[in-house]
Amino acid sequence: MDFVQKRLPALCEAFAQTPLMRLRVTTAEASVTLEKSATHSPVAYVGTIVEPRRQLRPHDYVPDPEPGRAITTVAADVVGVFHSAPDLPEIGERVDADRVLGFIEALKVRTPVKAGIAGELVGQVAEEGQPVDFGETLFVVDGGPAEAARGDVSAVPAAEEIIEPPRL
Amino acid sequence: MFNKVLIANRGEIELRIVRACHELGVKTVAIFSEADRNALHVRMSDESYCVGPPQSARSYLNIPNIVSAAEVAGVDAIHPGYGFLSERENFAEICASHGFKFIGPPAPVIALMGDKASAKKRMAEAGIPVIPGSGIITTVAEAKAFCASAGYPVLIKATAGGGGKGMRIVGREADLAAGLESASGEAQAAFGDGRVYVEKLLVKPRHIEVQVLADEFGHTIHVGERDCSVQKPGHQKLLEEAPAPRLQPEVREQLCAAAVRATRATDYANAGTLEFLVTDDGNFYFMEMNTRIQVEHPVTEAVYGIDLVRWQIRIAAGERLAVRQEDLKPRGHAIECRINAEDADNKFAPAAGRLGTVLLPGGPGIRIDTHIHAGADVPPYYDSLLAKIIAHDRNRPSAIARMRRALSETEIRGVATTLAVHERILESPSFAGAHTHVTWLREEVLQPPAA
Repeated sequence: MDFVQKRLPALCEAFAQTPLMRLRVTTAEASVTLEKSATHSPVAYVGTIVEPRRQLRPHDYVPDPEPGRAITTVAADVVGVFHSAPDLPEIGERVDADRVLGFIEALKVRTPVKAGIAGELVGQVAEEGQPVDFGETLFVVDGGPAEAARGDVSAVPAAEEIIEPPRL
Repeated sequence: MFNKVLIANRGEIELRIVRACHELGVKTVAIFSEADRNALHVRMSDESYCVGPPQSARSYLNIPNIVSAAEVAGVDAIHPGYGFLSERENFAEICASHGFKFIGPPAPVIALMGDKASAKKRMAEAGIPVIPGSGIITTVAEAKAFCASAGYPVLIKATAGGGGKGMRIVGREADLAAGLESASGEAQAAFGDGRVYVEKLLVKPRHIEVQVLADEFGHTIHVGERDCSVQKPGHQKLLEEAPAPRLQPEVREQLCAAAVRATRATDYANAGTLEFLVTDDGNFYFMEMNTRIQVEHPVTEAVYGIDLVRWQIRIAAGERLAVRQEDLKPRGHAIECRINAEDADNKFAPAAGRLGTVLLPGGPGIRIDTHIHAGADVPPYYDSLLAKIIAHDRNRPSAIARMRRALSETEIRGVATTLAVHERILESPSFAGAHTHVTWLREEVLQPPAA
């Protein structure tokens, strides 16, 4: 393609010189999106923020909870490859605390992933076959209104504190 | 050469290994605990995997999670660094059985040298002088019998030990039972193995160690000696230098020759260090062998112009060690200061927190190995090493002056550090005269004799 071979390298060079972070160019031949990643500074002095190299996976998104609901993120406690259970509940289905939602395969051992609290399966964050590390969010379970679940409002922390924010 | 290596460590040594890998064109995989999520070693690696919560036992010592991360990342080899899993033969075996090359010596050698009592026995059989010592102590009576014949004072040591843990000095028989129990308890907690043995305590010896390097084809060389006599109470090294000052050439020759002989006798491969105690009369005694890269390796690298960590990787990848003994000639003198997050005025109590300003020295002959930067967290869960400053110059007085210059430029705010105690060491006349020995720091600097 003429655009890719002749014009794209020059375009990339020009883009690199600009302060723009993202640029999309659409021609009759092709549509190209150019993106810059945050710059790194290995030895930083006061005031410099360094972004981690690790790429966010597409499903590192956790849905915002309603305030006052006991949301639990089900996180991996071993490193391995995530597989969903053959009888994986539908999103919206109620589950018991012991319900096995999937397992993590590591070194030929399968560690089950349980819901942890009784409630509604709100979301699946990890994809089938996705490598996961310690603490990575796999599922989100809605334990219902905090008062109904515990009978003591003050004992339940605010929803923002329960949910782990997406890792930057 | 490997395509990808996982580094089973953290902090400055992880960075050191990452740098050697990147210079060889090898991709790097870091592991980290939740406490190290924003650590520099994670950012500098090509990929990273969280392997557990902050506690070492559940993260940096979590073999299943580490090996699983290696599988998921598809690495060829694993470098264990120092400390953590670097001298656990079961880890080396597990790496091998999962198809990962362990960058270090073979598991049986790690096992042999990791058991300090059996290592001593093996060295004695190879004709290397050893400190008079007992076997593993099973009863107090056994210990008493040994001490009665060897004479007090004695040193109780953990057979699985290292880094100064599980050691107790006992000056008389009345204190022996309590010392045994205390050392054994500390060893059990630190290494999961409470077995101890007893050695005669030598009078003001110097700690002099020899760096060795061997490839997997049997070519073995030494890369000179290091003097690590400046130690905190508790036998942890604080300052190291190369070459060892004030050492008779014959003693140096014998030490290095003994180190090579001992290494060859164990079918060794990769980097290692043989530690000796050297007394004023020129006698030396084998203490232990560390089957890994050491914290203080930079002083050897400076003086011999050799990249030890790069050779570790190349040797493990099956390359021949293309360095001949006769080509290795030391140049100048190098000193390393370990800047720890410790309060030297309060028994070196470890400090933790968040760093503020960090200004590190530079200029000719100065090398910094560190993972810290301004704003970095210093977690309380791991060892307290913040940075290593290495000064290299054409002779020892110049190296001392250069290090003093570098320390005066250094600023680390936010936690207590050992910067000030290093300044005191380097301005001391007895350090300038190279009169150090293993209890010198406590006697001459921390509790100086009344004027």
